[in-house]
Order: sequence, then structure tokens, then C-alpha cells
Amino acid sequence: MERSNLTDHTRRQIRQALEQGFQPAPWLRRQVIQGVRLEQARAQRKEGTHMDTINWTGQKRISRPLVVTAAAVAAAIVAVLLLATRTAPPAVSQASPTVAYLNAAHQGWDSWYRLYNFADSQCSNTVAGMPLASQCRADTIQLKAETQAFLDRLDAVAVPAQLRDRHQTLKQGLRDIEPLLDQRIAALDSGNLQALDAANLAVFRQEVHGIHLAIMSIDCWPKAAEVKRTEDGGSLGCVQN
Amino acid sequence: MVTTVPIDLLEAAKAGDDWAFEALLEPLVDSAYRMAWAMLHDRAAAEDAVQEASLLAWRKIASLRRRDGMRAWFFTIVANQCRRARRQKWWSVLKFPELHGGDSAAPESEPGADLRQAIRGLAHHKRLVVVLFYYLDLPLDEIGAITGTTEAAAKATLYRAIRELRPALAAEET
Repeated sequence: MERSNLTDHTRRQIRQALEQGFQPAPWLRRQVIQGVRLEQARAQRKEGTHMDTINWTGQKRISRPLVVTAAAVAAAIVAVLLLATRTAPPAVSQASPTVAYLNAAHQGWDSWYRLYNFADSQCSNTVAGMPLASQCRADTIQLKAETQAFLDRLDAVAVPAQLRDRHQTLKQGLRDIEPLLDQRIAALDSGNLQALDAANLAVFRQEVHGIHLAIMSIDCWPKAAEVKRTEDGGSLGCVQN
Repeated sequence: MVTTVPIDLLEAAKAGDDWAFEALLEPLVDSAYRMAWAMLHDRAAAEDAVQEASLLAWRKIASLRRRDGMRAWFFTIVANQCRRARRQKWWSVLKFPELHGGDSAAPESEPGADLRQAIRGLAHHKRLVVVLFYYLDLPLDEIGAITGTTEAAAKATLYRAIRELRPALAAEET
């Protein structure tokens, strides 16, 4: 398709509609790479004592010329990156309290939200009649422990002044979900699926309004966060104004 | 015009060099995240999609054929993760009216809202082509590679998608 004026105009319209002021979070690259490294470390642990042989056979074989070439390319990339960072000073220093706080909040959130999703899925399926009560119970107990871990993590990091209110809202949201998780466990133990359904909904609402909205508002600062309707049901985003 | 990467780096990554894989992946993360965001419109879901795609890419890097190109190959995985995320959406349609007191017709009021809604209403493959072409500026041959079709098929899909979006695009003009 030719880059006509019409195409460029359409491109501007679509880009404006999709972006909504969106920028990839500055920590995302590092987060993704860390995730891959964790997986690599996990795989290496799995390989265990076979590492010596596996490293130099089959799929894992790396020829020395390749390593040397890769190292040369790496050095070139690092040099370019270093030059780029020298000529363009970052808006926020990597060592700034805001970045440290956001990293801590996001690490806590990632672990918490993953567990939340596991538990939500098991407990919703339990209500739907699947024999998953024990998994729902175990995941909910784990989620409760993770909630406390998230709170501890938030307590352990210095809170930037501009995020203090939102930080407190997030902590309150986390504290408020704990009794709801207890309710879910009680409903499970009583074998009352109706009560479990109600408890699941209460947990869901608290996750959306008490926790997800709070973490999103930290992301959105200085803007507020809001719940938006989508064709899928709903999503959270920054208020546009 | 599929983007190429240094072959030695690619070969090293395929041979199991984790550092080489990271060097290939890192420059693609931001664009992948933009793509996932445009497809899912949910920050957490987009992050998850990119993270999962990265892990999958690392596990499957040995299967990457050089002619596919790292970017097209990785974006294919991200697109599949987005489709999967939409299927397993965490936000139940049934639960949503509870949040808004049943106000299902509440329109978004900010600029571009109608067009955004129209894009979200496109079928996955059409939305993907729109996002890749108009949002990420990828050439049609690479879009064909990502969607598992051809340049001509990608162009046809794009044409059909734009035809569907035309009312919303026209509304934006007024």
C-alpha cells in the first residue's frame, strides 16, 4: 500500500485513538529481560549435573567464533547505548526514589496479580461445578500470604511525596481484601457454592476497585485512573484530559 | 523487507547463547508492548502477553528460520499471546454491569473514543493488521509474515478493516 496522504492521515487518526497518551513503562524492558533470566536460571537448575555435557553438545553447542562475534556485536551495542545515554540525559534517574518505588510496587503487583488470577480461575470454576475446591482453597491461602508480602514490600521502600496518597490507598486496598479471602475460605469449607459465588464476586470487586485501580493510579500519576468499558467487559486506564 | 538481525547473533541465540538471545530481544520489547497494548488495552494484560511471549521465544528460538526474521517471528508470538489473553480475559462480561450499575450504554467521551471502540470491535486478525501497519509502521510483507499469510493477503485484510472503520474515521473528521 502506498504511503499516500490519505494513508498518513488515517495513520495519524488511528495512532491518536490507540495511544491515549500511552508510553511503555521505563522498567518494562528490564522486567522482561529479568523474567527471561529467571526462566534461564530455572532451566539450568533443571539440567543440574548434566550441564557440563549439555553445554557442549547438541542444541546448546556454541562455537568459539560465534561467541567472539557475538561479544563484538555486544560491545558495539553497549557503546552505542552508552553514547546515547550521554547525549540524552534521562528524565528520571534510574536511582531516583520514584523509580525505586515503582519497581518495588510493580514487582509486588506482578507476583500478587499472578496469584490472584490463579485463585480467581480455580474458585470461579469451583462455583461452575468443577472439582477444584482444594486448589481454590490452596491458591486463596497463598494469595493471602502474598497480600501480606506485597504490604511488607511496600513498607520496605521509601515512598515519593507525590505518590504518598496513592500508596496509602493501595495498602488499604490490600488490607481490605484479606477478610474477603477469609470469607471465601469459609464459604469453601461450608460447601455452600452460593456463598462461594458471593465471596468470589466480593474479592473480584475489591481487586478491581481497591487494588487494581490503586496500582493503576500510581502508574498514571499525575493523572487519575479510571475503570473503562470495553467490548470485552472492562479495563482500567488513565483519565484523559 | 523483513528486518534482519546480525546472523551470528541469531545463530548464537539459536545455539543456546542466552546473552545473544537477550541482545536480540531487548530492542523489540517496547514495540511488542505497544502492540500488545493496542490489541488488549489493558496494561497488565499487555505486560503479561509480552513477558509470556519472551519466555516462549527463548524456549523456541532454535525453531526460528533465518528468513522469517527475529522481529516478525517474535511479533507473531506476541500476537498469539494477545489472542490467548483475550480468550482468557480476566474481566468477565457478566461481572461488568455490576461495576457500572448496569449503565451499559455509557459512551466514552474523550477524542478518538469512537474510533478506538471501532478498532476494538474488529476481529482479531483485522485489528492485528491495523495495529501493525498504522501503529507500528511495519511494511506489508512483514505483516504477512507475522500473520502467517502473504503481503497480498495482509493488504486485502487491511483494506477490509479500513472499510469497517470508515464510519468511525469519518466521524473523527467532524
